[in-house]
Amino acid sequence: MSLRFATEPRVSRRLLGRQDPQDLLSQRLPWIMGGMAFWALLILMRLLWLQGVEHNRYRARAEQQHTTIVPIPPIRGELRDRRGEPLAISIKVESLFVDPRVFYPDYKPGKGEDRQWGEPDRKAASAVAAKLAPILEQTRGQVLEKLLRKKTFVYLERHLPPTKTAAVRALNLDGVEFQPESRRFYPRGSLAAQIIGFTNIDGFGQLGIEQTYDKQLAGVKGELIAPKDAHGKLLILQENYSQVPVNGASLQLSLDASIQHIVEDALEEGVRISRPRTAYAVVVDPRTGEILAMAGTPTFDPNHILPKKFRNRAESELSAAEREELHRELERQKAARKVHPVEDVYEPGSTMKIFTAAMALEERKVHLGERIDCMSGRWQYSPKIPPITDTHRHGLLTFEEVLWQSSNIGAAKIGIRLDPAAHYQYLRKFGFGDATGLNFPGESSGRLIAPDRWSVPTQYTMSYGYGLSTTPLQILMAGCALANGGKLMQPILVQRIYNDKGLLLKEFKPTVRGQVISEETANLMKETLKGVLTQGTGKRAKLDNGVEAFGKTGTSRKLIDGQYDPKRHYASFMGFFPADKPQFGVLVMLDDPAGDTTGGDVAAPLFKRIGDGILRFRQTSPDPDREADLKLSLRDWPVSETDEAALHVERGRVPDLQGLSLKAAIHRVVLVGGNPKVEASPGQTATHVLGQSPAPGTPLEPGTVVKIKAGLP
Amino acid sequence: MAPDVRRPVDRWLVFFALALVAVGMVWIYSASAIKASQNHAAATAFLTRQLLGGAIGIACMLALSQVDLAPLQDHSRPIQITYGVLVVLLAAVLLFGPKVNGAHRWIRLGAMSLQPSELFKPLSVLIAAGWMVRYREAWTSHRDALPKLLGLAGLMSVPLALILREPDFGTSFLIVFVTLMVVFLGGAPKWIFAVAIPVLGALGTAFVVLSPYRLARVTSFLNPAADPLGKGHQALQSLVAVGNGGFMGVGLGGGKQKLFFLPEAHTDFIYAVIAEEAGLIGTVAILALFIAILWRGYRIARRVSDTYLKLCAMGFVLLLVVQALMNMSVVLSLAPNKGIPLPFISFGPNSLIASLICLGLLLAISKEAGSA
Repeated sequence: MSLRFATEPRVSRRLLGRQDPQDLLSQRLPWIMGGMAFWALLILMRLLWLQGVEHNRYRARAEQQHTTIVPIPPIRGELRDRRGEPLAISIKVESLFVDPRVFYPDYKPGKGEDRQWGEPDRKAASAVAAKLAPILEQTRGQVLEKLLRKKTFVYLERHLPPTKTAAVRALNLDGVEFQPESRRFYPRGSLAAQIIGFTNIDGFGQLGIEQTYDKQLAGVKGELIAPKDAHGKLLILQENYSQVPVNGASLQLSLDASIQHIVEDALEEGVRISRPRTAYAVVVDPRTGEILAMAGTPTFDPNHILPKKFRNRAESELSAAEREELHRELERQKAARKVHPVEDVYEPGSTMKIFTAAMALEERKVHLGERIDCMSGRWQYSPKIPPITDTHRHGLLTFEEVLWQSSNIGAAKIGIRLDPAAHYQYLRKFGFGDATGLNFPGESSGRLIAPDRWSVPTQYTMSYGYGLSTTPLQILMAGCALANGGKLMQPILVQRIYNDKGLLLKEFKPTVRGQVISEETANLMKETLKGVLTQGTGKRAKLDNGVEAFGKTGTSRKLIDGQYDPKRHYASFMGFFPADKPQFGVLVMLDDPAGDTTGGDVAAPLFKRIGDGILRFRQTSPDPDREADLKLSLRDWPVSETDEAALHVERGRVPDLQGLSLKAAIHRVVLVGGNPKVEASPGQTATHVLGQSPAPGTPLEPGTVVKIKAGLP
Repeated sequence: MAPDVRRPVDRWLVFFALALVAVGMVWIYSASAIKASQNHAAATAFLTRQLLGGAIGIACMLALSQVDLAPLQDHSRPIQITYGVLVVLLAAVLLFGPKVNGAHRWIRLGAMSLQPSELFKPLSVLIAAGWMVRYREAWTSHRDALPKLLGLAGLMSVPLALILREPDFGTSFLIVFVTLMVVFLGGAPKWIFAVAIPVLGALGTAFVVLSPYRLARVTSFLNPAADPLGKGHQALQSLVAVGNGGFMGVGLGGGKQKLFFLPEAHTDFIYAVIAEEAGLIGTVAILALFIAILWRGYRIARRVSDTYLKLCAMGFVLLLVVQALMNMSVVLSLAPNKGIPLPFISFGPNSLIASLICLGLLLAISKEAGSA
């Protein structure tokens, strides 16, 4: 353009008189135009500099201030029983947090000392606190303290019910944000709580399966690269993952919720009658080693780990009485969380005699019908050692009668016929002294000393169950070897692991740990032990409807302060049924029952109760051995059911749950702000909703219990 | 000027200006949609208002393009009346106007609002050009030049003082700047500028120094890195937007700086949003369109024979292009922030109407432009 000015014809300047303004204008125009051109050129250069040369520097700066990495928590995997009944599910919930920087107008970012907070804007924070406090049911002071904490992330409340999140959202507060989290829900409450375990508020498994398989269940946290605006508000317009979240794997347990229910009912009854310190029971399928039920008292509800009044409060805020209560509660919970069947070690006592007998039979040191002198109940086999005594004075007993009557002297006499090294080897092969391979937290392996360290009485006492210690599960697994043709199985608690799309990741097939004794010997033992229920110490374990079972009572004295207390016992019964092809191996154990009672008195009736319950359940259930295929039910979740749930519920009203899957029903109840409570009759597989209370459409106060009656559709 | 030799309007000028308006509509939506949504309005809230302004402005432009401006140099009554009305309106703004962002600039008229300072811009050119032509005899005389110029200064100072009082420093500065250029082109003796520029400079400096808010703007311009989160924030964020655009830009709608990093993304800093989203191609294209307008205006000014019309043509085109270059300079941190919009593009229905009025008047003059 400036070229054009140059080619302008020069306007002649009059030397005399006034200049014509027209001429002057034409003369001055190029100056203005030149100036403008120069200015435009300056801008052009500046644009080239900023957008060309300096582009990369500014792009880096822009990227840094425009994006933030948002963690996307994965949904924790489910736990289901062998029939597909949900035992632990996760529901997407939201937690409320605040970025207190919004209340610090003079905040300057930086590392360490460079970070300056300045004075907070108390007025704004108080206003926000006043709005939030009633919704969160916290005091204004508590909320305000959190709002002004000098951190970039402070939780205001975890796992808010959806009604409250809606109320907070409606306030549209700056700096107050939601974080998606998954909340664990245990539909059957305390059912198998010790085995399943629970998760803490951060979703980490704390006990049982939840702890052992925490890594698989938890999944992989995703990371979303999200644009954010200058106020730090996220604008997630598209899912731009730098790390795609992987939802946790789901586990199909070998547990059968129906049998578990039967067992827990029986134990409750046993506790009521005999008032032991604890009572526990395990049910195993001897053929596969799958644990069908494992329960102990006392128990707890993993849905309510801490009473509500202790949540969200520091210990220092509590009054002395409350603190006392909290401590008692924690102590109680500590006891309730103990998984006795795998953690406790005890001297098995009489139960051990069947293994002594089996070993001697296998080694042909004894034969059926052989008469053994039981010394009228007292055998001083060595002068300096306390004698072995029996509770009843027996004279000559056959081999079988030694077991039926549970004679210590008889068992010792059979035991010492074994070569100590062989004796020890057999005990090892039965699994004593070794962990069972269950892979359960806190599992003990018991104590079995090697023959070179045996003293004079060791082999005698070991033959009738003292001088070695085992866990109840070890004893039961060893017993199952007798029921299973001599094959010792590895106990299984988790059958299959699926990913969140229903793809089978891993299957735990039954594993034979070893052939301990020959099938022939095992069958002989089976036949022999039937007599315990028909004419021996375990008569009270005899099952209804003539179903044959075999088993052995156990009554072992507790070792208290290095002394055997004659009044305090472990009373147990281990039994197997049906006798010809055992499908169930049951161990019932009562720790220190009231009164001078034996396993045959208190544990055998519980075995009967459990056994009858299982058999009744199998008769009424249309397909008792059916195993669920989780593939389909997992694949449908969470996309379809979550979306549907959100569409179908009306806040503040009880939703219609009829016919829904249990998980969908629970989800809907949580969405409307209710507190779901699943009810199922023992021996029922609770996978679908049969009924509900209150009725659909009833107005619902937040936190109201909605009872869900569940069963097979 | 016989009516029969009048030519059609300069169609190129219409094309360039409407291209800028169209670009403006696109980026007003891009830059304001999220802001509008955050204020719980429709995403198109700003766009609709601007479209309405554009419709009114184009109507004004078409109407004014048919006006013959030449008689105004002899019959100044319409200008006097308009001047009077605008001074009253400017006074009314100070008295009744609502305070928005610490300034009274608008008068509410139902759903619309009127910004008299914008409308004063084209009038200032007409006044200055008329004055320069009417007293053309005086400029060569040492005795008469100064009083006559002071007369013009006095005439202008009343509305300017009112605009400064709003406060709207940017518009006042622009009007003074363009008026000085018209005075220069109108033949004022050069020594006048040797006096006027220092005096105005001193006045401006005093005005800036006496107001902490303006002083902060200037100091942050001189040293933006000193306080990147405070006053230098706008300048720095604007540079980040421009620099992030690079050659091709991040794509229409893809810019992030408009997400409240830029304080006035849809008004004063819309050029930064365009720079981020359309890159160097977009920024240079818009610069080129304004230069093309300058060129068409210059062409018109050269081709009309009437001095008054020549001055008016240059005045209008300079009003548009100087404002554009000032806005760009602010966005690119070449000048301190004065708070003036980019003509045709920035959001502001009043600003758009005023720009289109300037364009309409320029088009009216273009009809008089011979092929000479």
